[in-house]
Amino acid sequence: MIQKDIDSLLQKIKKEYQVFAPIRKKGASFIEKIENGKTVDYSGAIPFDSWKFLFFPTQEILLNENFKEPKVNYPKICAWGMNVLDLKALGLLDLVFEDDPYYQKRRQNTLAVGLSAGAPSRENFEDFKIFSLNLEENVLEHVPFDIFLEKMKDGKFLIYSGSQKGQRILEKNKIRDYENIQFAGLIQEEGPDKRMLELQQKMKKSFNNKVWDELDKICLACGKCSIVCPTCFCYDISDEVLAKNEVKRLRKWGNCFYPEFTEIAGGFDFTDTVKKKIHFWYEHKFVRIPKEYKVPGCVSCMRCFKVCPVAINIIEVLKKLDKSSPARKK
Amino acid sequence: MKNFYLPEAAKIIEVVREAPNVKWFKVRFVNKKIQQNFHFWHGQFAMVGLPGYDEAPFDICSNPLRSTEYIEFTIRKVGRLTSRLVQLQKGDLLWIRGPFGRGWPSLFKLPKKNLLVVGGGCGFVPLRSVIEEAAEQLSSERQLQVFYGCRNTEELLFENRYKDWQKKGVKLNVIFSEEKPRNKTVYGAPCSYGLVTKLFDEVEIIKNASAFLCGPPVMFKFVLKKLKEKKFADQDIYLSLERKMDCGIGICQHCACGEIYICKDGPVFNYAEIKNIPNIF
Repeated sequence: MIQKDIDSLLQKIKKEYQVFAPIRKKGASFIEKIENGKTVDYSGAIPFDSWKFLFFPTQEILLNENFKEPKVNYPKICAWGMNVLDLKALGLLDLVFEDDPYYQKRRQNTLAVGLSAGAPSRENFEDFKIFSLNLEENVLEHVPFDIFLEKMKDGKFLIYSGSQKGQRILEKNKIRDYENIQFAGLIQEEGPDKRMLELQQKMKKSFNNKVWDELDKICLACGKCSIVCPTCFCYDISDEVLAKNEVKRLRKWGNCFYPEFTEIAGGFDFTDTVKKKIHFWYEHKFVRIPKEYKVPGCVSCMRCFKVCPVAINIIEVLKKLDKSSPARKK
Repeated sequence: MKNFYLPEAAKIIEVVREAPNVKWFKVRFVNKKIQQNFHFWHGQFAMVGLPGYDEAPFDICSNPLRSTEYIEFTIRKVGRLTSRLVQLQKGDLLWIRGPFGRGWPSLFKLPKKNLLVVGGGCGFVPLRSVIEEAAEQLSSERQLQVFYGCRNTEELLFENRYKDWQKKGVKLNVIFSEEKPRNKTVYGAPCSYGLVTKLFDEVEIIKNASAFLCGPPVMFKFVLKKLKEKKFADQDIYLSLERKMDCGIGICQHCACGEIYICKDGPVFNYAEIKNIPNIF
């Protein structure tokens, strides 16, 4: 397949789906609704924002004015050009919201189209070797997608289908030269990632590690890392009073760095210092998510580092945790 | 797929003013079938809300043995939602999701036969369901001792229940922290002056007991110390913890601490399970 065929597939999908894809501008890649397939960034660079807003909107109505689940025509949305790391994050969201009717109904109408350009952002792979950042040969079996485009060095594409939905679309568009991949769950055959499990143990015992005191001094608790993180999914539920006293109950993205996230009635706050807040964020990614879903809560996309105003590098933090871990002192 | 976010309307069938800012509500689901099939475990909580005022977790404080007939909540006015809730009258509706979480362990599965219940302030509320249920199951083999620390007579909760509890064999002691009692008893219960920990020196503690605690974090610290002095093993101590909760099903992250969720793994925990978690209370 050559670029022209891919463009033509995109145009056909666009007839049925609203297509969101990475668009190159101002030296970075941004996920935007596209009107013209030719503007898509196929470099494999990790977009500035994560894709989660397509699957888990910044706000959605849980209950309508009658306090019932609203009837929603969920839009048909295609996420075009998700890299492997972002597909891993999507796989995690699929697990987290497995029993969530709103997420599942929306998800049924989405089409996830993966893209790799040799490797998603090769510099990330080589600089930060962590978790499942090996270029696993069977990685596509362990991420959810409908269609996957693999861009080769010569500019040609290999095509994979990862679901019946994806297969139908390929067939409908007379694309026969593709390989079927059977999704085998996020966890590799050999079991949960060993580095993830080691890190989980270190993280569990780390609250008194000086790493958190150092971060306490520099972190601004601005919460940008949570906003761009593809695996941050916490949320707040609150009511909104509209005109005519109509009330709707909404779910909105939460942010564990913001005040009141853990504050109880009467004003007591369990994460009342920056140290506690940042520790809470790391704990979610490296203790709770691995415990519940057996996968890391970080896909190493480095978006948090790129947006951090004080350049906190998650990989460096984890390395420090390793070095200054009291358990490792001899 | 079940929608965990859908609340059910419940009608208030009785209201009692328990203290200046505290109301007790007896409610029944409007949908009779839901009430008839409603079961909760003592120590579990429900999300209670009002349209336009959000929702928050509240412990169910009624006797679980009556769960198919009615449920009860005791609510203190502290924020926007509770300020509205305490204004509600008989016949008004409130909206309930739940029950959620893991409550107090089954009294019949505990290795120790007796039970010591220690509550402080509003922390007495989640203990009421276990007292009500246990009181109906006491014998010479199974005893229940209750220590309740409260500010003053005005703030006293569930005083109309003391005589009934005592009649059923509950050994109840009340202690006031801000008021020297004029009499030796209050609503039939022996009372004294000081912090709840003082009762450990004043009153003989029942032997061979598990301890159930709920109260402000500072109370946990000092009561745990007393329990250790009295040779209670960590595994025989249970605590009910408080957190902000939005979902009630262990996803939204507001109640997370260490590797656990207070809403899903708790709110009741065995002390041995949580004692090493930083910032647990």
